[in-house]
Amino acid sequence: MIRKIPVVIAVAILSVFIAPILYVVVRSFEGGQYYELVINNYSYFKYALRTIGYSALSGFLSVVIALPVGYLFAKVRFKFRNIIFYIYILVMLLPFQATQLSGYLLFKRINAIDSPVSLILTMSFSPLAVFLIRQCLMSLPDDIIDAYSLESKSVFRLLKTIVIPYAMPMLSTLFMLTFCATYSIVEQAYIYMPKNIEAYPLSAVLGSVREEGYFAGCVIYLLPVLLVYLVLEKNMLKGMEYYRWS
Amino acid sequence: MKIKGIVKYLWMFLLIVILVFFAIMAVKGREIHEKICPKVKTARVKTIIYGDKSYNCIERNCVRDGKVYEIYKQKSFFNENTRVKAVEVEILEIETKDIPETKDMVAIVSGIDSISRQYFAVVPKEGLTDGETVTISE
Repeated sequence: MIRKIPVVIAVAILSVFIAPILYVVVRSFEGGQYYELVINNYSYFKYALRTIGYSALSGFLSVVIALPVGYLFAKVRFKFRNIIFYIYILVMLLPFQATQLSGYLLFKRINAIDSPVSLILTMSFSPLAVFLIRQCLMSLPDDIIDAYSLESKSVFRLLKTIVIPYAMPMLSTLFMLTFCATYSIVEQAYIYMPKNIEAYPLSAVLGSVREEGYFAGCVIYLLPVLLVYLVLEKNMLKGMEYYRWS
Repeated sequence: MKIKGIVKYLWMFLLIVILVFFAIMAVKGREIHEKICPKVKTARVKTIIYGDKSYNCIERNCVRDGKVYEIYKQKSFFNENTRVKAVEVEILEIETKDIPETKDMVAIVSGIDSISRQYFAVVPKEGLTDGETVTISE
């Protein structure tokens, strides 16, 4: 009996998280909500597709950007490596509100205000991504890299044949985390695209769905993220095992 | 194929189905809406008392003193009481439409609310009273 107490506590805590989702799912089946959403809120799906596009692109870019930088911090020795890495950690700790003004000024300079490029770039450059990749690659044995360097000096071939297959679970995790983060942005859309409402992600306009189809809209909003997680789940769990302090 | 093998690809298949559905709706949604929903429909002007003020409304889009209010009832899942909630919209543009077959006049307004959400509303023009039927066409 005593052994079951942790299970009971875990189920109780889980139900606190699951209850709002269950409430939304149950209410979505009343009063023809899905019909109302499909017939009268048809632009919802345009926004949904756009949001999935932003999220997938941000996820892909974050992986492409973080991988070589993470490899640099993990395996290449250069002057001030540790200091630069600690600055990355510090930036990672800053909330978005602390950097939004400098981000706005930067995007204004490159004419990316009111453009989806600002959203995608904001989410693609992430210190957390570099940190995760670095932690993963710290466990890659140096002997393998030394052995490979006897055959080829090309860093790109090294990344392609050794590093990427080794770090694939962590790359899947990173893609998933960036996908989820981009999928639910609201503040960045309002700040970086104040006038271009047509290009907003679905998370920023979900509240505009009429009440008659609102709960159905919320349920459909959950589906892409849930399915992406289920597709990448196995890789993601393997990736979590690599996270260790070394 | 064993069940485990099928489940592995099931989520990928569902994701592709959802993406295809979204794409079809994004392209064809307006067409489907126009085929199914009537182009011309009638609605009754209703006077709703909210607080100590009265508002003239078509469905739930109401107007008073040159401002647009969205008044709708919220049903609670756990009890049967209803609440009326009003959202005030800042009018950006007004287009007055005179429905040719009738003498009804309605105003189509576009505006934003306090958190910059866009609204398009058909509201009664001044002079229309409670119970009058208006014809709305797209």
